[in-house]
Amino acid sequence: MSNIFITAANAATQSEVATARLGQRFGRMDLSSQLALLAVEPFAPLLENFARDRVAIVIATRAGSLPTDVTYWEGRDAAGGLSPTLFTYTLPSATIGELAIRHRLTGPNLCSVGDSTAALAEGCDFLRTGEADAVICVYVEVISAALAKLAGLPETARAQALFLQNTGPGLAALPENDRDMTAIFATLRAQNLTK
Amino acid sequence: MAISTTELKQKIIESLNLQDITPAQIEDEAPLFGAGLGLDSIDALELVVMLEKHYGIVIKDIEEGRPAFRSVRTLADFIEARRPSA
Repeated sequence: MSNIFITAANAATQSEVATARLGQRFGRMDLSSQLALLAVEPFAPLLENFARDRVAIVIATRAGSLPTDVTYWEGRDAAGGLSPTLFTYTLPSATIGELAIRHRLTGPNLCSVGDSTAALAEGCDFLRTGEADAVICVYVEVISAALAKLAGLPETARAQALFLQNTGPGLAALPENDRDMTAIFATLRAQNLTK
Repeated sequence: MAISTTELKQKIIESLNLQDITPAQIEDEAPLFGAGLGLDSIDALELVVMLEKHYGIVIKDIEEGRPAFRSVRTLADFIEARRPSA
């Protein structure tokens, strides 16, 4: 029996980004950060129950900052030089910074590139070791049109976010042997526990 | 011809991807950074790029541009004084 619980779950897609209003700075962010912010935004009321330095952020990003890297490279000959704003998003962990700023979180954080398995496992460790009282775990999957063309992958833009605690029952107990967020979301959706 | 502050405000909004703000909501004399429009250091660099891209003005030392970035008015005056003649 797992001792980690999913308190809340939410997903975001690119179609929601265009109409989202999450502050003046939202428009300058890369798509990964925008999707992550949108997915995490409903967790804001939950955060009021925690000290801001006791909430961890864990992010898994499928392609890292490659979509932004490609855009940055394509703009290398632009008049006036490359965009300094764009440059700040050529790090996969920039999304963590945006979430931390938005919700004033100063707890531990971790960013991994690839699937969500390792990140979710690390998030659980933050709770088990007592390094955090809650964990925001986000899986971001952005394959831009330009990257899709280069890498031969299907274009994708979505984010999934879980709010984890070691007190329950919450929405559901986190499966003991399944750390794949896409699979967990499929189960939650089947039970109408998230969109 | 003097540069239009409305046009400059529009360029600032577009360059910085500012949301939910119109040129009319930005006062000519209000500070661009800090308490005014709330821009930050990355925005300052983006404005430097915008000046070169749209007005052909190159700022090699950020200290040189610091007084110009106080407000839309000071930036418009700076552009007027520095832009290459047509």
